[in-house]
Amino acid sequence: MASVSIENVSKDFGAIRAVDGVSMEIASGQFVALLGPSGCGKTTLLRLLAGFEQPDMGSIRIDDDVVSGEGIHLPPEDRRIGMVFQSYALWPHMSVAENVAYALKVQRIGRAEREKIVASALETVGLKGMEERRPSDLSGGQRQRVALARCLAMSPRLVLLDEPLSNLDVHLREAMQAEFKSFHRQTGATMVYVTHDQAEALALADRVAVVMRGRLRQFDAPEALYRRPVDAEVARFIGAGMVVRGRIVGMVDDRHCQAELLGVKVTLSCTGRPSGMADICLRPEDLRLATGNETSLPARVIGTTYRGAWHSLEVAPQMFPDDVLHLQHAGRPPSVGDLVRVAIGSGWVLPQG
Amino acid sequence: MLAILAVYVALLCVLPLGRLLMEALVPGGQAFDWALIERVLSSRAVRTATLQTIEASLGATMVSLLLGTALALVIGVADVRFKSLVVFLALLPMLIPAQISALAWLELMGPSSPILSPLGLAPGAGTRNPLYSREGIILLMGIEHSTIVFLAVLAGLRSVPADLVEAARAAGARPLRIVFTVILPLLRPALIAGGALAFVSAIGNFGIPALLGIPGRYTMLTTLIYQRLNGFGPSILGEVAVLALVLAVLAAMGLLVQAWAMRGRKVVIMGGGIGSGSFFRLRRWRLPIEAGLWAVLLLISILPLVALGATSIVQALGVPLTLDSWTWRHYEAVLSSATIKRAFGNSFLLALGAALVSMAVAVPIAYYLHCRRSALARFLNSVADAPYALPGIVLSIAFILVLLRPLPVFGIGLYGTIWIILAAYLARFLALALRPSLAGMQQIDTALEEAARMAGARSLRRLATIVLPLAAPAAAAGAILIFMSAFSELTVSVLLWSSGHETIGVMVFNMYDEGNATGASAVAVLTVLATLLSAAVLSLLARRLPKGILPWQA
Ligand SMILES: Nc1ncnc2c1ncn2[C@@H]1O[C@H](COP(=O)(O)OP(=O)(O)O)[C@@H](O)[C@H]1O
Ligand SMILES: [Mg+2]
Repeated sequence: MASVSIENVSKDFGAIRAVDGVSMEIASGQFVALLGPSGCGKTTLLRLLAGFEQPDMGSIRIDDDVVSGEGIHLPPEDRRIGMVFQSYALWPHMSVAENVAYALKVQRIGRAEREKIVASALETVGLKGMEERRPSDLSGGQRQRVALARCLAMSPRLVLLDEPLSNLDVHLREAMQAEFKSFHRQTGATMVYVTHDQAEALALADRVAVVMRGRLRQFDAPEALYRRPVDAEVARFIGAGMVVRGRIVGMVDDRHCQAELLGVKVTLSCTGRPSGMADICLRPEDLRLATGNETSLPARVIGTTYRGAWHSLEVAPQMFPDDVLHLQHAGRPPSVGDLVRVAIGSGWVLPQG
Repeated sequence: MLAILAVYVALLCVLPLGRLLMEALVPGGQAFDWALIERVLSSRAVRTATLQTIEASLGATMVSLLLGTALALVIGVADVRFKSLVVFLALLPMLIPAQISALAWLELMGPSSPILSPLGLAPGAGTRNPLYSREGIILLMGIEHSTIVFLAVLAGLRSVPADLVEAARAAGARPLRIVFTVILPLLRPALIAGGALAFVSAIGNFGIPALLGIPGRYTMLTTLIYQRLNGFGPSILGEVAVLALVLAVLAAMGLLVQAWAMRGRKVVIMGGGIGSGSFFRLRRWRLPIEAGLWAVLLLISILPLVALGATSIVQALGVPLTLDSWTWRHYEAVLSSATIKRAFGNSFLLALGAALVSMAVAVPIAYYLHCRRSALARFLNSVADAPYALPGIVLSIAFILVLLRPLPVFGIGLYGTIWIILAAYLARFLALALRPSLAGMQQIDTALEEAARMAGARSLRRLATIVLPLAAPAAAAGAILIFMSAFSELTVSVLLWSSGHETIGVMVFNMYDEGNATGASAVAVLTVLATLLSAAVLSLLARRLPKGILPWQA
């Protein structure tokens, strides 16, 4: 299993800077998700790791060996990295078993040994008995499993996955997510998983790297990313965060402060010692309809959407009608146009400066 | 690897054509000199041949444009029945080599026509065949190259967005009006490009001007070159090189027009174009239009071949063909002739060799071009177009110039052997090998090769285990296409053959020239059968081929 160290890597395509000064350390055995909107440079970063692209600046190390940069460029075939392609890239002229065995043949592994590895890889992904099928005779989910088995068979130290679920039906994605998790558990391989779907990233990864416009914006555990985004853009991208302006009044303790927000006084989480005006990130679950006479702000309901276990409400504060808030409400929803009172339970002060 | 390929292309495609240019422009080998060009061009015969080449080719282009466009429009947008068969028949003139079409038409229209005579329509016995004339040449070249326009227009139709036509129908326009006000204007680039290519093919045509124009005393540049070289031998190579250059310049002008018309046309139409189905329902017009279509196809594709077949089994020219007067005699004579058997063998081996070697070279070039994005491979690919696009006779003169003297290092002379024909074929058909190879590569997802890299496979192994197996069907199709073209080819070999090293194309031509029309017809029929057989094999492959490799797969 390998650790990966990316140091100040940039990659240009003509005038486009696809990857812009990215540095990150991936510990051995970690499951890392690269998350960002489409076109932000995720695939390029992955291909830099694989060795299909050469960085214009910076260097990449795997297990402390430089593979790119500093005048070195190790070709992909020498990196011992597994990759699961978005299109699966199964060789159509080979059977399932031949696809899986290919890397082993390249490594000149003997026939008996090879067959054992192929059988166990196919068993792991639940494709026993499909050895002789052609990729064209398989369903999307089965193809995905073959791609995984092919990767598994070469026991790579690092596995790269480029939006592996984007070609699958919604209901298949859940099942495959579980498959990836067990793959990670069983192999212990370091995994880098590209996706533009934050739910996928948060559910799968130990650490999520948020990439925007080629830059690494935040690299954190999923919970930290959700609770403590570094700036307004990341806050809005992850979990539909609302960002509103507020004034910091004073500190409560090291990690909490008092602030005046949309006309009410609230206690918020923070880092450092924020002061003056600040951007504050609110999550739907930070808000609720007030009961009794707790501190709350008056707002007009402008939309309700049925979500099954709850309704999601859209409300416009009377004093600040442009700062539309979203909250989840179980039980009977108010009607559009009703005047309600909204209590703010918590929030996160985005780091200033 | 790429370096070897570059040398191959340079030696076969660049060197001979460069040598030809030198011969014409720098005749002494010392300095640039207009004198030779001036002397050649001031000859009346040359000027006449040049003007007649342009005249007949322009006329033929008009015929091709009318015929090809009409056929493509009817077949492309209307709901006529038996489309595959109709398309195949419309393209048949392309599959039949020019000298055989010429022969077939001569038999059809001549005084002893086995088809017109019984109907009392043939010209009187002893009169001249009406095709021995400028009009005959224009008509036949026009039909032969109508397939080029036909294919260009069919492709053009596919890129006419269907909604443009639907909008016109919604505006209340009738089909005929839509054809003239919407479809044809949008097809203009395809028409110009197709017409330009038809013109280039016409000026380079040898079979038709040779069989029709030599007896008809209507000389064109290709036949003038042939006659000069035949009459005076290699001593007048310099002069002939100038003629070839004139031909090459005319061709280049046509190719420029074609490139200009097609500039920037690589747009993919969202939705679908017309011409992929039956856009217009003809209703009560269907029967008359189908009848007209079949009448045209009968005339241009079927009757000449029937006449050819009939001529090959008559007792003697002019003897009417009846149920009990036919004979296999000419086939027996032909098949027992050592010369003809040798010619079949030569053509078979030449075509096979050209097909296999060309594919062996083209597949790696296509690989480097597509999978490795090599600029050198891209350059080689475009260079290889020249020997295919230029008239075949220009290429043969270039090869005579290069190979007339023994090869410098080895001291072996290839002139007068079969190898000079093979070399010229390799140059000429490389482009024909590159197109399907590239199409085959392009349909291979680059991720397939990248996946093999991740598995640790190096480039040769990837080529052998991933790329080649996937490109194989396209490569096989390319090989068969080359085989078909080379097997019955005449234009290149007519200047390069020597006794004992005849090709089958040369054989047909010479036999007809010597007055043995029945024997020539028999050999021609056998050749056509071999060609059709290859086409059938190709069609069997069709399901596994990327689109656009088989011309008749419309
Ligand atoms: N081979 C390439 N040539 C030119 N531009 C490229 C190439 N690959 C990617 N790009 C550009 O780089 C940017 C990032 O692309 P990519 O890494 O594919 O984004 P993502 O995978 O996040 O959607 C895009 O603007 C894309 O157009
Ligand atoms: Mg991508």
